[in-house]
Amino acid sequence: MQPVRTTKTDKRAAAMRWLKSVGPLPTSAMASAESPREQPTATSLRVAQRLAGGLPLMGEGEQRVKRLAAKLDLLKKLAAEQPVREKRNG
Amino acid sequence: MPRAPQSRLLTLQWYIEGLGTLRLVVPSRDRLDAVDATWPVERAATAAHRHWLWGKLMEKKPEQFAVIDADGQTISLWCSAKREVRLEGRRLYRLDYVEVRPRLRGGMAGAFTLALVGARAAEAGCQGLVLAAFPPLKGFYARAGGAQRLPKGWAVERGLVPFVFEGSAFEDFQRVVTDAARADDED
Repeated sequence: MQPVRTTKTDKRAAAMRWLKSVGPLPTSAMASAESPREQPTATSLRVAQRLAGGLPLMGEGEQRVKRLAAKLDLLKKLAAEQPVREKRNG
Repeated sequence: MPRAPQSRLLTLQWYIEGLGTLRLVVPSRDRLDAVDATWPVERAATAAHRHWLWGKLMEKKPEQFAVIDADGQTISLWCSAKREVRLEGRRLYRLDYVEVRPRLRGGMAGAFTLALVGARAAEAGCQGLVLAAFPPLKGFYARAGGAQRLPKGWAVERGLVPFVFEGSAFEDFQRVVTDAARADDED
């Protein structure tokens, strides 16, 4: 009896059969190092939602920095307009 | 910043029905941003992982890969904070996070990604693969040859299901990845 020669095509077909036999995924995430019971934080949800909606990311921290930067700008302008009065001793 | 992982698999290509020609890459920041901009809305509203952001998950992970198609679109991603664990006297590859693009989960992308992870594990000198699965995936992993058990010395988060791939199931992964590979001169 002649030994059956396995060709590359046969091997590839076998690989496809294996993939088909495993079947589709019931959910897109396949494994996790964290508990699925763990609820997403408000921040991670907001970031995900803004990214999904194509909106720019701006959290409370970022807004606070912007407000502080605006204040700093204003202070710089005021300082430029009003010469600093030197305090003289004696 | 960990060094990008080195792998022979990064030089190969595979042809998978329904997905076309696929390659393995180490994901760039731009790729992860693109994934985080598109995948969350494709996930089921009730999915436990709906909040996942791959840009965050991949941070400082020494082991991180993306499967991409011929157009450069991301098909799946996986990462691990620690590549291997020694359990029951053997070196096992620890798969921390893995996801297939949500709209592609109905095809062979999941099974092929799992096979690639297995081939990577073997390349890294591991004798098996351990992971913690979401409960709806028990059937999927059982069909892929996994054993639902907790190896001695390992712990998984509450609510997840431990799976181990070893022996012939682990060898199947390598066989599938080798046999589905395309030669450079194939059209």
